Amino acid sequence: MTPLTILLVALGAAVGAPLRYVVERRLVGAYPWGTWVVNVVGSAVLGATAGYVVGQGTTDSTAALLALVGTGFCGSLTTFGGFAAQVLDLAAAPSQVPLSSRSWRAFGYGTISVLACVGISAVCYAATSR
Amino acid sequence: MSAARGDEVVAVALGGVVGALARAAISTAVPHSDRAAWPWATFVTNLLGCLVLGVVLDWVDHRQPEWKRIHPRRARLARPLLASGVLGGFTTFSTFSVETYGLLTTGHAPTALAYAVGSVLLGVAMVVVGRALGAAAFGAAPLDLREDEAL
Repeated sequence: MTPLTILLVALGAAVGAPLRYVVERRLVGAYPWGTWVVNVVGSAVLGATAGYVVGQGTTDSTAALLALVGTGFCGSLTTFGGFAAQVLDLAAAPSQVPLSSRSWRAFGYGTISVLACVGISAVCYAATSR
Repeated sequence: MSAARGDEVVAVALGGVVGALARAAISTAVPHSDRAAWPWATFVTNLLGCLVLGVVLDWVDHRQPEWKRIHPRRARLARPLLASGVLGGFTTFSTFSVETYGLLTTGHAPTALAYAVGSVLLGVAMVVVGRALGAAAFGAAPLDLREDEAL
């Protein structure tokens, strides 16, 4: 990585990660919708960015855009670790809910996250790569 | 539910920069240039991040009562810095989404399905293993401490 790439990734992450935290703290409920929202938004923005870069070809400016917006901002706005821990939490608690219901909640949240994120990144990629 | 405090947001930003740079270093070392190929860098990054996150969550949960008495600031900032910041910034869902779409659109639907389902199932399993490792090293943490906390 060049010093410029490091700087751009760091700048993007310095915005993306705290934005995720603020949204997650605002949207807490029975389901972790805050994480769902940042993952969907980040997947949309990365899909659009990646599609645009593929359409434009690799240049210094598209590489910089990918580092700042893609690797830095979208990479840090979205989280896989937080998502996986939440799927586990949905399956684990609360203990007064039967295990079968908790398992379905966890399965549902996981499935809706993956389908929404892959779906919206596909739509955005297709829209900007043409 | 609750507004994030300023020092927590700064801790997440600092941790996020560290995590993102580590992720960028791995993706530079193991480039993913062929959209039809298995996305090894992201796959390994996410699973490793889930494993370490499990250990960190258990460690923070376990230390929380003691820190609340002696180090209230540490009690508040450990989780934002390490879990939301470092490991939230290290792991990524957006790249996972775009790579899954890349596999689908290059005619590798079975690989795309294996990548998506495998990442989620193994990711959850890694958090379980990490928590078990943490419990073995630091003692079991009461599960209900995690309620209502942002990750």
